[in-house]
Amino acid sequence: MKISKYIKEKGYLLILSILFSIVAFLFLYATQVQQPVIVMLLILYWMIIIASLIIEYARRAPFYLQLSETLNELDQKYLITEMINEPEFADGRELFDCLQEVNKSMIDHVNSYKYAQQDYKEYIEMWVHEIKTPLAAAHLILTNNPSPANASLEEEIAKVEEYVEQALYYARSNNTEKDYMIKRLELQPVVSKVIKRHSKSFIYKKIKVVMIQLDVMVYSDSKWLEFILHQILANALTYTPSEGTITLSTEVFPNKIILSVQDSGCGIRSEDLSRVFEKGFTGHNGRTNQKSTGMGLYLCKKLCEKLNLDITIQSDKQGTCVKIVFPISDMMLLK
Amino acid sequence: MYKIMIIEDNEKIRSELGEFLSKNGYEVSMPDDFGNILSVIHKEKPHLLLLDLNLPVMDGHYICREVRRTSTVPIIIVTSRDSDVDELLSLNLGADDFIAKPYNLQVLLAHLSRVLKRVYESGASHVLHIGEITLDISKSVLTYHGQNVDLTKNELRIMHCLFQHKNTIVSREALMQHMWDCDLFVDDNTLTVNINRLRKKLEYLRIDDLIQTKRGLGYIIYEDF
Repeated sequence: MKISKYIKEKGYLLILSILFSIVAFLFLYATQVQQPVIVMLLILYWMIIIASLIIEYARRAPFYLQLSETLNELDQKYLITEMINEPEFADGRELFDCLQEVNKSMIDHVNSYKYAQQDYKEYIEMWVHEIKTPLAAAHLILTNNPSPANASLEEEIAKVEEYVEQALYYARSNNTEKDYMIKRLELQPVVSKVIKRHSKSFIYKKIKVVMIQLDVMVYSDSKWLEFILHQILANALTYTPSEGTITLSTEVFPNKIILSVQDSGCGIRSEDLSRVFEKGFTGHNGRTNQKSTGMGLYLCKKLCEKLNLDITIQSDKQGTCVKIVFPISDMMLLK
Repeated sequence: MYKIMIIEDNEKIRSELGEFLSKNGYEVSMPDDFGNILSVIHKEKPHLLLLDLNLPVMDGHYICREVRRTSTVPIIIVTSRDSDVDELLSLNLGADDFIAKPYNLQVLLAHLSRVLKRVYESGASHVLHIGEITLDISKSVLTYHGQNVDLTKNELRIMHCLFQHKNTIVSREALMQHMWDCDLFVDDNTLTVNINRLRKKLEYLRIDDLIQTKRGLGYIIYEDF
């Protein structure tokens, strides 16, 4: 609270005091009180007024000063009530209690949404685990009862499984809680596992896979990383024509490892490229392909952000290259 | 024949998995009395337990721990709970392997036979025969009339797959799938090259025409070549 503002606020008191002084002076003068007495009384009166103004200012100023300064410095403004001390004066206490009350009700409000979201996520997780049982049963039934329709039914079930997995990771990516564990892990087994899951597409489309220097250690969560790579490879396989090549390679730098997935597909139009990580964006390729949901890369980006990985994409007519940057630091484990 | 006990509360999965395993040469036991499961296990003495985690009456982890107190029978946990915690807990409680649903059935078979082999056939080398030709998988050697040739990883896998499916046509895609399942990510050309090399090695052993090409279909090995 600036002094000028304070004085302006207290202007009414000063004006009243001046008026009172004039009236008192005239009255005392008229009743023939001696001049020195009048001066003395007026001085006393003004001393009381000024002293009380100063004291009042001195009590309020530190509180309001602290309030506005902390508010400026805070990132999360709503934490202000945690940061200030309760003032000593009545109107300040009123304000303080008010703020506390408002804060509490806001926290309750936010929490109710948080719990609702947590609830929903738990439901999705449970649902995903439940749906796996009938899917596994369907697989078994198909294997035990060979018929000409099996291969295509298997393919459809595989697609269902993929969508189910996507739903699970979507729920996880929106959660404020951490349900991943960053560990030091070898990249090769993770990549091999993902490639194996796609082996049918690779083999039937006669797409060659080339792996260069993948025996490196990175810091990440293996399940999440598997999901991310699975999405990237699914895209690469969709847009690479048969007899094409998909190359997975790493480059090692002192402070980072870059994993590149390069395909020899049709590439992404330059005007689409900057938007591929957006939710629901399908672009020209997606529209012609029809199968695209615009969720794959969006989820990749989101999960990468949670895992502290960087993901970038480059593309030209010769193909598309997705790069995942793993920082190298033991700090990652402490986060 | 190995006896495998499937402990799984979903009836459909239980019976279908049982059918699948018995088709693949295992004796299967499928108890559905989950209250007395421990005494059933004790009585039937299976060679291996396939154990689900979400079970009525007793949790899979509890069964695993109780079984381990008295027995060293190999246990494979098969479950839809695929979190790291479940996996760690299972392995710590003495399970031999952990597979998450929905599993690839071939992968399940591979895990099964690997665990069984490790527990019951340790030390014994794995050898396949066709006529007088022997294929030693653990040494990666092909023997005919006392003469040996060493096989590379790729060639071994091709031979292994053809030996397993003797008298039936194996398509190039199936061969490649088999190799990919073993972490050998070969492409079409490499497969052709490997088959040709393999034929050269067979010629060296004076075995002609073991691997026959069926045009447009794949390859075949006859038992009485």
